[in-house]
Amino acid sequence: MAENKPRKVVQKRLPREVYSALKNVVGERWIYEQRSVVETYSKLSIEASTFLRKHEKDPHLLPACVVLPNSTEEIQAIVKICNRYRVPFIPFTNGQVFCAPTNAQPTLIIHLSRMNKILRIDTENLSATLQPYVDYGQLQAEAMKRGLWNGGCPLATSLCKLASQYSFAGLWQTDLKYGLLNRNIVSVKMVLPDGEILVTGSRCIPKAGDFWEYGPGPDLLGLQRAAAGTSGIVTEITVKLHTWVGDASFPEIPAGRPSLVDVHEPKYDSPPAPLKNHKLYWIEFKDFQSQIRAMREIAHAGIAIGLNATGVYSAFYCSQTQEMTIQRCRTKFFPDWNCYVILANITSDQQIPYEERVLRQIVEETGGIFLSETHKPEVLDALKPWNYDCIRHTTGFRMNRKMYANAWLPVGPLDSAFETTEQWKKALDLFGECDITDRGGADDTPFVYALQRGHFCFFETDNYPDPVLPEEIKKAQAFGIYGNAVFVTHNLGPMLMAFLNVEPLTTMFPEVGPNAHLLMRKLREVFDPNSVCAPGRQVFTEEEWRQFPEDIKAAVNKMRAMHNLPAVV
Amino acid sequence: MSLSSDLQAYFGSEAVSTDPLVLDAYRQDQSFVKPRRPDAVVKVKDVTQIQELIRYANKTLIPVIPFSSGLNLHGGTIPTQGGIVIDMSGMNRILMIDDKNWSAVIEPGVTAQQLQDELSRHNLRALLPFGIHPRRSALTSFVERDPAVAAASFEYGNEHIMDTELVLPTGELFRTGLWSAGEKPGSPLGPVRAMLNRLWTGAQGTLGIFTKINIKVEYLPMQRMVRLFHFDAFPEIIEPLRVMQRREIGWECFVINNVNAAALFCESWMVPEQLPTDLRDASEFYALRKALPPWLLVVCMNGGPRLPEEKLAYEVAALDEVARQTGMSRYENDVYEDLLCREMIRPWGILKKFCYRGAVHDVSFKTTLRRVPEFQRILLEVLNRYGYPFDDVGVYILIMERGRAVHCEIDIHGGIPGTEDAERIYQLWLEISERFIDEGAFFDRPYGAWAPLVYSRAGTYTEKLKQIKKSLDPNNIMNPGKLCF
Amino acid sequence: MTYYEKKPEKKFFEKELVDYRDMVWGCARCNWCQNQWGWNVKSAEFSEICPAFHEFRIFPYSGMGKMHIARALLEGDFDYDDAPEMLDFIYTCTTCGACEMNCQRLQDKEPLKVNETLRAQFVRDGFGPKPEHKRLITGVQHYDNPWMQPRSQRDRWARTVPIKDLGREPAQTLFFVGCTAAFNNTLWKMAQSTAMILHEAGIDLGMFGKQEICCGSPIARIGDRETFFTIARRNIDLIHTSGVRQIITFCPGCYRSLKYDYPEVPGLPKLKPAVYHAAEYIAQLIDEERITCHNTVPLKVTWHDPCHLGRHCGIYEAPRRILRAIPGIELIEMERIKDQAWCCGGGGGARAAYPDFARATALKRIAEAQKTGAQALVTQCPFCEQNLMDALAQVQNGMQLFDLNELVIRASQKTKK
Repeated sequence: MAENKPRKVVQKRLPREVYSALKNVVGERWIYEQRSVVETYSKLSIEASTFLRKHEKDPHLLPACVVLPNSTEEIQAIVKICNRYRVPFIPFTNGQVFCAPTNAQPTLIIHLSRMNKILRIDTENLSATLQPYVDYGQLQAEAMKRGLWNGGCPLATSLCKLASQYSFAGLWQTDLKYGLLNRNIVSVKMVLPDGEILVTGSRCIPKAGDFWEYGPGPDLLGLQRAAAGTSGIVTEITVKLHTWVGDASFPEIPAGRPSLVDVHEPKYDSPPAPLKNHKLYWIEFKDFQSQIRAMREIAHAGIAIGLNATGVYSAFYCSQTQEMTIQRCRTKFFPDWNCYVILANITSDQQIPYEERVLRQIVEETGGIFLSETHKPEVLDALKPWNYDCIRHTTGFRMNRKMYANAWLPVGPLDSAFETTEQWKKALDLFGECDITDRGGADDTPFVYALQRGHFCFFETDNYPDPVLPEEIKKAQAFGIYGNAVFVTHNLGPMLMAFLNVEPLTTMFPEVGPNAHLLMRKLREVFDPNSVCAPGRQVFTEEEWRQFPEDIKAAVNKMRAMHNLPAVV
Repeated sequence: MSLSSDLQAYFGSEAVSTDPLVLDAYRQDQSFVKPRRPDAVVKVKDVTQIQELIRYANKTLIPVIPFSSGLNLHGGTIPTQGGIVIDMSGMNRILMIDDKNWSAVIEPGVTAQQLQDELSRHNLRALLPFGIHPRRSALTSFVERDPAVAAASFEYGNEHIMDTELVLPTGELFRTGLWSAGEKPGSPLGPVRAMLNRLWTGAQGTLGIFTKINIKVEYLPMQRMVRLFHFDAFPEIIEPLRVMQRREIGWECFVINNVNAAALFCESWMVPEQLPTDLRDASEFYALRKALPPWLLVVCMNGGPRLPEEKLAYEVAALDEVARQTGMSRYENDVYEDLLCREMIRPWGILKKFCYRGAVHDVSFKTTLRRVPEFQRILLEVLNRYGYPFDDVGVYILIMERGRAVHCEIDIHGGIPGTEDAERIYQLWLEISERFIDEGAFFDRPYGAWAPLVYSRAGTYTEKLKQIKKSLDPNNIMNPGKLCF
Repeated sequence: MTYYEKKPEKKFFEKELVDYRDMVWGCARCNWCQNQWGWNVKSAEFSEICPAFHEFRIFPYSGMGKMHIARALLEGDFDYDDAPEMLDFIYTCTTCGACEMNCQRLQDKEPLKVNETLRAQFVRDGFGPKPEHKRLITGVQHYDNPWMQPRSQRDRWARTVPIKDLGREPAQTLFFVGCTAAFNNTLWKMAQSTAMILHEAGIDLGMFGKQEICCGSPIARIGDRETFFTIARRNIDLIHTSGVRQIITFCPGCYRSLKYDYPEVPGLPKLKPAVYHAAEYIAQLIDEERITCHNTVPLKVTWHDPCHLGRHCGIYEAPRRILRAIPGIELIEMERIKDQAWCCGGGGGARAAYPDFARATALKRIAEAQKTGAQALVTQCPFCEQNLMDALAQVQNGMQLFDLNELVIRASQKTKK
């Protein structure tokens, strides 16, 4: 019966004049506005509110058009058209964190998938220049052949394009030594939201070359970094490279390769340990306090290239099916309190032996136990994906079996782990868990990454709502906003990554900064006078803020009220 | 109402001075930046006073010039367009030393020596630049991106700033990092994910005034070991350095020529209190300069907080191996090695170089290791034309981030402003700078006369800086006339 | 029903789009459906894995895009009329299963199955398939082969080969030739060499000859479930009637179809004889020294894993063991192999409807083979060989193409005294 038919979601269209202008730039083959095409550029994977909006059939989530430019010049021409006609655009690589349009205007997606070349690897001055669609897997493969690497790999080697990671912070397993990606950028060439081309660092001076990241004078690179795609479109990015002492490519797994017949067999995730010149250690602790103490001591001892705790996440990463994941969570198969340490022989083959002695000293002092042949060998065996993942992370996205959304991702000193955990427990009591795995980070260790020799750290706790159940997704959304209120009131340092329903954080939590939203608005006006570049992220113009969905405003006010914070207008 | 009475009404008569004699202390430094006397000086005590002063400046459209120690040496605090100097030297508290997380919160008036002394009581150290004056503001040194002597080490020698607090040109208080979430610093990342603090680095106080920063500090290595290697010509150093840095040996690593080495090792000279300074007897310097090899490569290895001997042992063995492989010859001198070991923590001994001709005008830029000889050739060409001997030029080449870049400082001695040879030295210094910039030397901190040379070449970068300046400082009151503003 | 709750297990060919609802909503956009498994990336050039995305660069061509299209269709966000173009996205897929491999491994999700289910729904609703595919279906319906060739021609390849006709005499082993090699005389050598080798090894080999009917693989991939079910039932009846004990086929499509697809058809009796791919069978014969490779074949070769043989069915080692057993052969691996092998572009109906795309994909594989320094590309799949052959004819770069069993014959045939 016709009346029972579900409501369709109809996309908006760009004015024909704009469409023709765009088509003239990229050619007919590289412009799309068909309904099924724009659908694939419209949903976020890790953000609750867009899932809800999909359930509610919100047409604003659909972009109007997708173009695929192939050069800086084409991008510049596209951006100029967008400015001329005031068409919002969204720079797009994988579209995992940010992709859907955020306001009601017909929006253009600029998909950079054709720009996927490594332009240069400079073995002498330790850098690589990449087009925006180059991912970590590609960069590492090429750099490692030359005895170099970029210093780490985030939770998903191939899904993360470095240029889009530039829009965030770029977290990886070896932050302890190499810092986040945001410490590892030499320069960017970008088309600014107003269509101008900005080159940063030494590269902006003729003949200087591309080797130094700051200046001249006040540094614009830092300002543009982590701007969540609001600062323009990176068309070339130069990243730092570091010494790599491991194999040029990863050795084969002894069990061979899986096929679709037996893909879920754990043996295919059992890489041999260790990679050449690298060693991975898993340590179990009796409680959270000793774990954190040990992590601090290890970080401060100046040893290791990576030091992280994975807690419940090991159940995701190292289990080959959903059932196995849940089973392992239920039985608490993985130690509650644990961390892993990656050592490398960079200076000499005596480095690992020395560092191992230091590590053993610390583990002894803090009452830790190494997982080994004699202590929980079955757990150590299950953790084998990390033998390769600790360098080139691959199985990290196993966490997404359902969906994960609205994580708490505070950054701060190691000690804040305790407060974060306490607050997370409170939130779980308040809202109830979406899934058994939500307890990870409350009943056991949250994700802890020791960053930059432990000067500060990153924690993560997540919700795993069922994507087909809006009520569960709403819960996750509440966790997310509540988390921001918690951080503001407890000085826990939000937030490494961005999630749209609490964007702009600085507007919804004006305590932050202070004055951050005012400052960000000023900067936005400088770079994006027509407010066309991913409007509605990071910072809102006043006009955009007025258009912001009332229900989200209400949800924010509700959470603020819980923390005795006055309502935001 | 006069400026003087206005200010006195706000800040009290003791804090405010319009006495020309007092103001003259702020009119110049040892650089070639044109001196100008400020209209007033206010010695501020706290952040609120800075905010008040800035609001006043916005109201009256009088420029303000942030001043902490005045030892920038490149004219950064000279009131190019007059105005009020905000003297923050009295805000000199070390507000926190976090033993647990290795960071320290300092005010603008905290000096390098004060910070290092205090930290060493906690078995910690700050990573300071070679040639920092012991009285220079540590905060300013960090925010002006003076390269730490340990810059060769990616982990320890670079990016020391964590959280910051600053007053914007319109008077609002602003914080970056974890600090922006409340009262507690502890991470450079904060709710605004951009590395915002970097906008204000290298800015010479034109975009705001830092009132506190939280910096990373590191353990104080109880055992350190310096090795020296000597070379006749710079190109010989390139390959050994590259190999050594790829193996990540040592934290501190730099090259100095015999002029700088002689000044550093000269026992009869002292680090001058004031710059420029009086000339000292140079006979010991001359003898040393003659005796020392043309180039010395300095590598410092640091024992870890645990089992330091073992760490040193494998690093030294690695260094010896590199030396054998690349044919580097060691320059053995226990006394110099010991001296350099101390300099790694308190790196101001090199400032004895000022005793030679009273003033030193450096040409400081970044380039790549491979290009250093190119710049050396250009330098020799210009020196020859001016009849200035290369023997009187100090050279310091600092390895940055394992050789990704080098920081070069070429010292031209002499030319105390107002003296006879000042103009000739100025022309020489300027020509070297111009030739270098033409060939692609990157002046990432464009002080004084370098600014127009750099910003005329930087295209959109310059344009955007100007727009940002206009947006943040609509009345152009913050240290106007600097950079491209 | 929540996400982790066990759902009643359905056979693949019973499943409707709605059975994948959780899965398509839960697509993580991790994009691993387009890229090599992280540990296996060996160069920037060969780091991608989805032929269609690699060529067209937009998401609807990728596994992820299909999940999103399926979600929207399922929820009624749009209908066929709103998005006629999606037919091309859904059918420009070689069903190589690279996306399925990585997505199953990482997310426990099945983008290829979603895509095949979309195709089935399209066919059911009369929205699909493409006209070129309709011809294949008609061919099978009327001629028992997709190529619309007369049945009388089906056994022409066998005129020079000692093999029993099961219509006349019984045999222990059924040699299931498959339509593509049987009707395309440039591919006869595949059938002939395989039959010769098996004969030499003393296998009691028979074929259905003119009576052989399509295994149904192309029809299953295109999404015509009804025709596929019919043909599967007919094949099972025919096989069971023949009384054979085992089945050998060199066609990965037939192999997968007989071994793995038939059991997924609802209500179909279980196929009794064991099904072997020629490569695994011959590798075993070589191990048992029932075939000896005594002639030297001096050749640098690289092995192209046919998707339906390797990734889909797990036969990676057998062909490599065979190649290693031949004296003189030097096997050099390409970067993308086994579960991460790059498709030739010839499967899943893509070649029929999108020949340019199929050829472009083959050319990329040839370029990868050439990077190894090999003189020859060796494989064993009529679809791969046909598609690679066409591309080689276009590029003419000196790269040779061999069927695996051609080399075995060369190495094992007795020299005439």
